[in-house]
Amino acid sequence: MPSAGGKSAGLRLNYGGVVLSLRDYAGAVAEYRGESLCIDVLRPDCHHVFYTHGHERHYGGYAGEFHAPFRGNVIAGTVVRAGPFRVLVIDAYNITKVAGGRPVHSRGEGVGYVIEVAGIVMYHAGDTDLTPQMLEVGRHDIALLPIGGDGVMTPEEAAEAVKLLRPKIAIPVHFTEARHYVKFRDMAQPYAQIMNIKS
Amino acid sequence: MARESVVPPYMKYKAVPAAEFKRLYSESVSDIYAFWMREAAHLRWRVRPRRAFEGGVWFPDGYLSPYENVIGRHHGTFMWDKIAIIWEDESGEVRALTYSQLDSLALRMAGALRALGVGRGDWVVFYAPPTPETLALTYAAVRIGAPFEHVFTGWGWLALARRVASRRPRLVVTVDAFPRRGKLVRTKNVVDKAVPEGVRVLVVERAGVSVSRRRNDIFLSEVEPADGGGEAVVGSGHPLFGLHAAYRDGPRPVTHAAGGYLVQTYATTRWLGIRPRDTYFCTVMPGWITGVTYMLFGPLMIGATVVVYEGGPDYPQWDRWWSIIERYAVTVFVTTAGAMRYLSRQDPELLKKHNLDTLRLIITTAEPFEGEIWRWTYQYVGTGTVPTVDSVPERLTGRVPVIHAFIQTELGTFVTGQLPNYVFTPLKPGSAGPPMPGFYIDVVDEEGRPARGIPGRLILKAPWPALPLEPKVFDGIYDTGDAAVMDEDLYIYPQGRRDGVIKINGYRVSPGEIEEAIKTALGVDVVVEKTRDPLRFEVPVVYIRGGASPDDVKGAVRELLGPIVDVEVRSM
Repeated sequence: MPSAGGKSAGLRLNYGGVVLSLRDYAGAVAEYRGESLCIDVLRPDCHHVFYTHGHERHYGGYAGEFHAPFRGNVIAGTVVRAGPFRVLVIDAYNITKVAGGRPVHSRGEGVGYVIEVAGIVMYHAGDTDLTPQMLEVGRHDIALLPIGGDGVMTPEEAAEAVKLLRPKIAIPVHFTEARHYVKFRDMAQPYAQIMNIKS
Repeated sequence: MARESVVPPYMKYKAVPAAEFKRLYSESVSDIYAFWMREAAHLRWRVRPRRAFEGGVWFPDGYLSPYENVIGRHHGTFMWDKIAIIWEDESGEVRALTYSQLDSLALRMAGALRALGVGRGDWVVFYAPPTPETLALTYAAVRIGAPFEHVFTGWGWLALARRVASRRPRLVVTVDAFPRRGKLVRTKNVVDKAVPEGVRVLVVERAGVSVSRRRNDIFLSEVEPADGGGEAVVGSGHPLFGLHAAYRDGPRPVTHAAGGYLVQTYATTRWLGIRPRDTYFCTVMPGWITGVTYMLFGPLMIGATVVVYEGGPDYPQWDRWWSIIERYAVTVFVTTAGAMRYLSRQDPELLKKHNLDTLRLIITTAEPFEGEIWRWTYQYVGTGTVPTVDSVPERLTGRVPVIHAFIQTELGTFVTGQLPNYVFTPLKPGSAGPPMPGFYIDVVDEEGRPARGIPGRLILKAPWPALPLEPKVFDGIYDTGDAAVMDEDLYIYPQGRRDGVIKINGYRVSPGEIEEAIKTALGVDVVVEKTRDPLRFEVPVVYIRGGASPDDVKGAVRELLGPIVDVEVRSM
């Protein structure tokens, strides 16, 4: 199996035989029985590579085959089969995070992914606010939610998302400051098991 | 006897005065049997008991499924899909299982045990760290009705050999090896020395290292599981698990019965206020009573999420436990007084860099807790940064309760300490709190008269539901072997063992077992006493008369009894 690549300074979570780890700023790698799937890993070495959008903290210019909205091969509402992984594409965009009068991430520019493998469902939300589409994700085991407020949900909004989505495990991504994690953790703790596997 | 008393802001409107506690307490012990019959009603019984205590057995006419009372009870509730166990090892591998997944794994492991010939009433001895597989095998034994004993992996081969000989198990469960402080602990090698070749050994592949194979060894991956079968329904007096407790002359088996033990465990865990939404981290391994009761059973009976950390507290640095609390949003932290003594002496920056605001309860146990270390725990670990109730934390003002509780293998659960979900009296640094309701505890002088404000014998004057099955543990009175001071508010200040038994870092160790190990290894007779130690509480002192060098003695004890028994050697 190729190594997943990217900068990893965290832990590896095995849930139901699926191994999940974080890479780079908001990236994640899911591994199952020798096959791997990367999302937003700058220099990926996975069997299947996906990007949520093209911003530089997410896409590092990878030249191999990959799925991404900016490549035109994924669009919200469609399903991609990638080895053992079934990947449902979900809208990801900003409502309240605005720069120069426009959303930092406009609708249609970025996506999130719901990955299903071996009966385990993981939701990588991408760079997004709490959107109506997010609420249609349905039952899932693990949610990777951006919490940094920098073009994504704030810790408070991400905690609200946890309350609404009720994943079994909520993993924060897309943040640099510990206080953002603490705020998110303290608000979301009663509603899901929080795991900061970044550190 | 004037003592400082503290009401943490978190408990500001729940604390009751000592007089109120005394009223509730005396009611509870005025009719112990009626009190515990009411508590027994909280378990799920297949045949509800009508009698409280008869022939040394609690609830003797009751029948129950222990497995149902620990895991099965959550089927059909929101807990079933909630995380039951988070397991982490030193290298950062993490595994999480929901109650449903843990149930499925335990069922599969029950099939494995059945395939290996384990049936109702057969003992299963574990010499393994807690991993998802070894935990599931433990619950599988409970499911089958097979009593188990976890032997702490810090014990060496002679200690394991004695416990295996005592239990005569149908199966010994071990792992090939596991990492501890960055090095591999070769568990299977110890089993090879300690366990007779005729005994079946199940090896769970943990580290993936090659190990020797004896004729009765089998690896978990090779077992063709049989049908897991149904949950065993057993009489209340059926043995659930056992441990060996140290006495002056050596370790003795202590066996807990299903009904009484589970009633007491469920009651004390509820009274401590553990809730399904808690993420609960107990650092004590299942080879000790706190680990069995407050890692394997109590919090799971409630439906909480239990964090299990396999490795050393100082690996790679002394902030490993703080990082675990921070990353999993731990709300309840259970550890030993000795661990706090060590942690309080580390670089303060290691603690400061972690935010522990989710903590709402800290419980310590295992040995006397000096007031100064209690204060450090309350102030440095328990203050946090966020306002609580109407109190805004200032620097080191303390916030959440740090409850020190007295436990003993024979007693099964905590039997003293404040109860956030029942009766919470002010905390007194250095004390283990007042007795919990239902435990008729006293401190008496040598003539058996109640002693207040002076050291005496810590005793129980009535049986308790987790009374061991061994005969004559309670013979109208139970002497814990501990010395303690009791104040006028019934608060207990444990002083340590007064019978020669040694508490090293909270581990209860028998001088007789050390003497036997040295005799076995070196053929010399020695006398073992104990002395106080500022860090480990007590240490064994071996007095030798010629014939053996101190290094040989220390090495022999370490090899035969394990790294937890570090002795001082002196000449007679």
